[in-house]
Amino acid sequence: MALDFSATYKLLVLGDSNVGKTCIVHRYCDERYYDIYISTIGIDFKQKIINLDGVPIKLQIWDTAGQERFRTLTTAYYRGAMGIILMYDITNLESFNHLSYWLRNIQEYASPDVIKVLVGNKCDVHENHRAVPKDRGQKIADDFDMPFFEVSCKNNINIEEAFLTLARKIREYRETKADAFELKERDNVVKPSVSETDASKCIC
Amino acid sequence: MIKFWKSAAKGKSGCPVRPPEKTSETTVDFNNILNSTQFLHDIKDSEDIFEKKSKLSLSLNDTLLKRKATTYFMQYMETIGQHLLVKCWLDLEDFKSHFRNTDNVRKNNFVFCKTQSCDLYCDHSHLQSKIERKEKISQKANCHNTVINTNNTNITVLSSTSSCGSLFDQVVLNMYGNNKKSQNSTEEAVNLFKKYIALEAPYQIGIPDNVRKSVITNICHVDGPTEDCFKSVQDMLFTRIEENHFGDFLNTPLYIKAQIDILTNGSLQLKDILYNDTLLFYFTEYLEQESCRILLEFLMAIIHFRDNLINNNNDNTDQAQADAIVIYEKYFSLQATNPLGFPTDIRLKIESEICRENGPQYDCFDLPYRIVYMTVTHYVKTFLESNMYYKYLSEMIHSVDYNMSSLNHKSYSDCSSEYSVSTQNTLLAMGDPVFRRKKRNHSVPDMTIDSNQLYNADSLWKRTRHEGLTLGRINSLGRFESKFEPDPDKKESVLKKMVNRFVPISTSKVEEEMAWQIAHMIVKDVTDLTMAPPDNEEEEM
Repeated sequence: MALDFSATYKLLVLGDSNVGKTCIVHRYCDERYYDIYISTIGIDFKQKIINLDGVPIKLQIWDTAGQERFRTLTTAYYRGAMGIILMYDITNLESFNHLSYWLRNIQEYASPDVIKVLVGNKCDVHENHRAVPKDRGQKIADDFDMPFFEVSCKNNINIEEAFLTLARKIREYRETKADAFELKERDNVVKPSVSETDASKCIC
Repeated sequence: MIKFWKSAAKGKSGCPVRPPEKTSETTVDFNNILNSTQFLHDIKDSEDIFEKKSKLSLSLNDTLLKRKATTYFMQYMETIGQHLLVKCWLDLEDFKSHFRNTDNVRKNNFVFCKTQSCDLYCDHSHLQSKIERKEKISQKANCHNTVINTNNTNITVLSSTSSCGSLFDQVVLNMYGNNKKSQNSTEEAVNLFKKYIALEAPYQIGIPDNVRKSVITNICHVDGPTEDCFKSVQDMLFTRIEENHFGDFLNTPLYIKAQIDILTNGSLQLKDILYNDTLLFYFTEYLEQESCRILLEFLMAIIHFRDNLINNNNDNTDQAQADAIVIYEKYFSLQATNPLGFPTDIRLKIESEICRENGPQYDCFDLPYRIVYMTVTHYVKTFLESNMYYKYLSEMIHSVDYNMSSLNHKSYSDCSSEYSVSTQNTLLAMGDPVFRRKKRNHSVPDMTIDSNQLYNADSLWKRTRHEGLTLGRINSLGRFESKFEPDPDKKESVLKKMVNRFVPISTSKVEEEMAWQIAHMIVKDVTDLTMAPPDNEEEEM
């Protein structure tokens, strides 16, 4: 018997090849860490049930291939995503510089109201190996109005926080949207349009 | 080969290897499927399983050429006042199809006619005499007296008619009809030109001069108009519709309605699900419940593997081999992380395909793909009867209502505003309790009444009540209380409330009305007292 979930959120994990997209998904969903690099063929998906402030939510996480040869194929899966984890590797400056490409793709193919979270992976490494300072990541996140986390799949740092923040932001957005809709409907009832006023004057 | 796999396991060929993980997925027994005759039959008929097209993801080509959801698109174009573009395109397309249907028989050098007994060979002179006879008949009937040169015609006749005569009548009619047909097509082309393309056309669709001139040239061709004489106009209209309007149509409730039609006509296939992200989301959920999601993962992996190799023309053999090994390690090997339980012969076949001298070909996983595809097709049937699917359908319908109500005081062209809900997101988290609580059904109540209900006592009381349509109620004493007449206990009726709300009445008028009422009341009281007969008179009576 399947559990009755209040909602299912579709999340997408994007970023350059080898930044740790599959790792973060495995770490979060299976609570395992694999030290070996396995390239994703196109797309993979995992499910995770979370308790968001007492409400059970199912996350369907779509792990995409970062390699350039798969990029045209994976854009087909952007459209229905409600949340996106955008990843880069803090030890790889190129993966950080490519964020502009991924953000452009999101703007072009994803829903306009998609929620994004920026994640810098491999924060467990020694500062000598760091190629992207934390404040640079924070600045990009601020510019695009995204929460920002530096995570480590190896040491399981900040991973849960990143996913929970994304889920919470999705829920908040949905609440405000529903409120706005209800408010608008109330306005329509209270303030009838001119045409309605005219119609009420007609003699039937 | 063993050497290769050992080196791969050590990571020499860049082969990713990881320790096997215990999966909760149940492995599927493919032996039964492989042995079934039904499967063998399905395999033969499954040539289109690699077609990357979902019925639910409509293109403009589908809408205009294949006439899918054309009515909905037309409806949308009408709301934005651009329906003439579509109407013109469709009329020009109809002209093309008429032209094809009435294509003349001049191209045919041979007409075949088979008799019951034998094949007749009718020589040239025989045919000539028949034509002459036909000419005389046609002259009497005041038909076109066209001379047909058949000097070089050699016709062999085969038909199901018993006599050769009626066949020749048909041949000659066809030959005579040619001119009439070309005349008809010219007339039709000219009419279409006058209707849409001419400078003084009643339906102006903004045709540039260069396009107009090219159409005139095509229509006034020596041999008459060709099938593609309006091609430049159609191409221009198609581009204009695609660039300016079709994208917006895909975000309207009308497009969702078109999808609902497809979803409810019972012709949904696995490929329609695989190439539609929203439905794929629900199907993934369903397979998760059935503990078979791994099958879908496998299909997706093979689709991407194939596409990648086809797109890159098998250029990088090392890369192709590495990808193939990833798939092999995950689904086929004896230490597979997500074993699908394929029989040994298939596994060995895959190994030999991967170890080819020039690297694996794009179709190296086609056999297992077909097997899994057929297996998942069985799940599609059960999915279409599942609660998950009905939930998806009902959410589609609700999202139409939701979007329609958000467009209440706007045209469709304004549907990209902040209040218009992204249908994809609406569908995916419709279960959200917050969303469910906030959402209201603002759709107009259904006014249709099934005539059977009128004669069926049981169904009458089962009908859904629409609060907005009641004129009153029956109270506990069985008396009808109107909603529109003032109740003695209430100060004003519902009708008066509505009038006061929507029709602003000046306060002076209200005061004047009240003064009149008070005056009327006083006069009534006075007359009641003065005009009443004395008590003793009443007693006498």
